Amino acid sequence: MSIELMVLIVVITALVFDFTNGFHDSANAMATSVATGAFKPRVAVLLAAVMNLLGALMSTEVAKTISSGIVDDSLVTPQTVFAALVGAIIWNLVTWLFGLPSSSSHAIFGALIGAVLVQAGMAGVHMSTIVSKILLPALVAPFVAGLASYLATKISYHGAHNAPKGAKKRYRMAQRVSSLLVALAHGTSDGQKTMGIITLVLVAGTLELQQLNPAAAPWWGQAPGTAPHWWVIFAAGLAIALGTYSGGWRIMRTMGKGMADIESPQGFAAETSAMAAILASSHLGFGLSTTHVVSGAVMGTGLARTPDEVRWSTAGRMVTAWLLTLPAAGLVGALAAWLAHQGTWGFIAVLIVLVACASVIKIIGSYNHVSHENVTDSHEVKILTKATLSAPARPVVNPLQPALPGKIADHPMATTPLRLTKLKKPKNKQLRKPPEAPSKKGSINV
Amino acid sequence: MSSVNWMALLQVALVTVGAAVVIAGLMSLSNWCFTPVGETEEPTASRKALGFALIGVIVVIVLFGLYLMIPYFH
Repeated sequence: MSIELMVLIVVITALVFDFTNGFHDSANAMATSVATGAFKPRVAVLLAAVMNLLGALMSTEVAKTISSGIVDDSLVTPQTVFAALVGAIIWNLVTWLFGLPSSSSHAIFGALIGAVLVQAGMAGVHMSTIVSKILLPALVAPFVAGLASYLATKISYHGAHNAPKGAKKRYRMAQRVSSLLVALAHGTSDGQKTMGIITLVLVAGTLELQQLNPAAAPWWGQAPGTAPHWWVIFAAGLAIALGTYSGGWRIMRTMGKGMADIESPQGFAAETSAMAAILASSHLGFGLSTTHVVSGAVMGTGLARTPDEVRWSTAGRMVTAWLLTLPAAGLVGALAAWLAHQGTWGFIAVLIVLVACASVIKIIGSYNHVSHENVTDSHEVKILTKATLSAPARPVVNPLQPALPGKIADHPMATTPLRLTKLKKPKNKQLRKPPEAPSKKGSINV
Repeated sequence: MSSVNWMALLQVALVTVGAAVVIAGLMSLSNWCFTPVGETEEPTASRKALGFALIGVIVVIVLFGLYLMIPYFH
């Protein structure tokens, strides 16, 4: 297989990864806005896509970190980058299937490290850069974003309770703006990662060509340590925007409804914190995971308002996925790298495995379809019967209902109202108007 | 661990917490400014003006963040 053809396949695979990154991470910016109803789902992903594209065109600091920072680009070959992309795409699809907001950035970093280790050994990996620019920020980011979000939520609710009239409407408007800014920040952060990967393969392809013919200077050629080409920036921005528009509804449901019930001031607080973290880290060239930041911020805001209703089981599953991302993607990347370096047949075999895995995951996913129509449904119908199980409840008398006879009337469930956090929508459109929801601790009723 | 730029990491943490707290505080104050007092339907003109000014400050902070991030500007 010619080097040009291999580079072309790898660039296309990189754009496919960017697309999966977009739909995997569209939840980061818009999950809370969709959950609180600040945006309709389709409008949310359209706006997020536009902001992602704009964001991707704005900066290349993170792209430089990836293309010349974490691995020695003079030792990397197009097969290595291809293997890394395969590992990252498969991990992204698996976590999407389970609705887990894991980090696409860590998937690509892990897979790239695994692939380079197989191909070039420890000499090809810059461990100090990985620790300082990827691992450490990954550990710190969710806590910092969570703390910022916690404090911002406390301040927002203090203000909203002192001046409740119209607060919901104003915070909803603020939430719209903050979520758009998170989408912009996501574009600058994640759009650049694919630019960095494509730059890496262009550098690797050029070096391989020049080994065969020192005078070779292909139009797409690139020297180590240089910034991405304009067409790479534009293609990466477009791919992530299209992925975002396709909407990762499964992950959006987990992030918007799965971890904590969120109101507009919380969404505003979480997104403002996430935006600040992503923009600050992007400015300093840290390869921060927007997923970790936004998840940390959502947890922080949930803890600030209703700590007893934060779903720790979902958070636990998510953290497990975070911990597994680097090694799991690294393992797939390493296996793919080994196979891809066996020759042309190995390279084609990896491509076939990728297509087969993606098809199987898509088919499995279609059995439990999540779309913009059911994205705001929570995972389970929660019946909170704390009131009934604690102190004797004051009977609620319904004058329109006759008294219940005998033992049934003595049962606490017969007299205490149940609090339903989710009701299934009736099929008949006329019956869809939900009953007035009971007010929650700390919620704003205006 | 000697290669870790702790100052840059601390800077990110401080900027994140500081910006979130300041923006939430300003938003909270502007929300208070737009809320009518007592039985009145509308807030006074001076309160409204202060509310818009606070939103303006938030916009300036966000634009400064974007300015820092876009290399073409500096």
